[in-house]
Amino acid sequence: MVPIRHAAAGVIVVIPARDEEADVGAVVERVLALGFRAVVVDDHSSDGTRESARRAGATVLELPFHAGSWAAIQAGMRYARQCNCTHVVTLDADGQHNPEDIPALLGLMSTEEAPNVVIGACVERANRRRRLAWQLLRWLSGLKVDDLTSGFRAYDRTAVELLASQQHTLLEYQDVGVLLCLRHADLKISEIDVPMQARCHGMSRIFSSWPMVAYYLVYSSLIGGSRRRRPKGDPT
Amino acid sequence: MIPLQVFAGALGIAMAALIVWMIRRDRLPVSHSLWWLTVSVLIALFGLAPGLLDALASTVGVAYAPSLLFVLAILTLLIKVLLEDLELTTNRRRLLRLAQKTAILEEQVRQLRERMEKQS
Repeated sequence: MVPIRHAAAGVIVVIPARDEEADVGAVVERVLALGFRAVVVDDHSSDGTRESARRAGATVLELPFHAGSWAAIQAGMRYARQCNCTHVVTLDADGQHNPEDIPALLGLMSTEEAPNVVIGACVERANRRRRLAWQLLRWLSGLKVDDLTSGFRAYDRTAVELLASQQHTLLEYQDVGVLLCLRHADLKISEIDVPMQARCHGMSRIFSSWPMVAYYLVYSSLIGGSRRRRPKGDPT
Repeated sequence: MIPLQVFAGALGIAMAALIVWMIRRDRLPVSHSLWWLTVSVLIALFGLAPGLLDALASTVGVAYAPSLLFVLAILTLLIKVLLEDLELTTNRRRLLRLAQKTAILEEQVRQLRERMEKQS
């Protein structure tokens, strides 16, 4: 992959964080070291997440109440849009994604027929629950994406404009809903395999228990089913 | 025993009076009150003229008229709840947009203040 450092100024890395005091600082430092701008969106944490992120050099947006991770990401996107960014990269504050892989994601976007969205996928991390959920979701939504729930993604300006709009404020889980919106708008989604940190694998809030999986599946299949349509050619 | 007509009619009129009073005290916006005024008029109407309900029931083929009343009442409430849900969703969206906006503005104010302090 070609690291595109020359365009780093136009890239804003949005990091939604809730009670991640311990890890957010290190993540921000690693992002800044790569030459990107870091925007931490604090989802009304009760610990020192904001201070920790600011000390590390990030711009911090503080949500006045707990609004959920998608609302946090969208706040970051709206801010990035005002800053005339070219790309937005989202990654988790807990250190599960390696900021060093950002250039690889962006590299894919500077190729011919560049996709609008690149997902940093890590399929090996999946446990049984997650695999089952993914399989069902792929089948329900008709999306041809391997890692449906990865929070490590790069969006181009077109995708940011689309997702920052008022219409897409109420997505509950950022993952499948966002992908469906993108597909609905005929944007191109690509995936790239990246390693993810082992220590976070079992900690997903979405797939923490079977009832959560059930809820997530019902929710996703509702929005997936209601927005399903025949793809024109290959949606991914 | 009070005749049913009087009871139902009084209920409708009392409800209408309550709604008008709430509008006068600015507790209820006029847009909401239209719905509730209509409901209270219907209560009074069906109460004062039970024959109306019987006629309606036989027109739509319901053998037992009071059950039609229950169906209509439940339907009315369901529609109202659905409309409330829609409004709640709109409000939630607006609330989130506002929260995001304040977060962004707050940060921009902070940046401006920092820049001013550096200059002075």
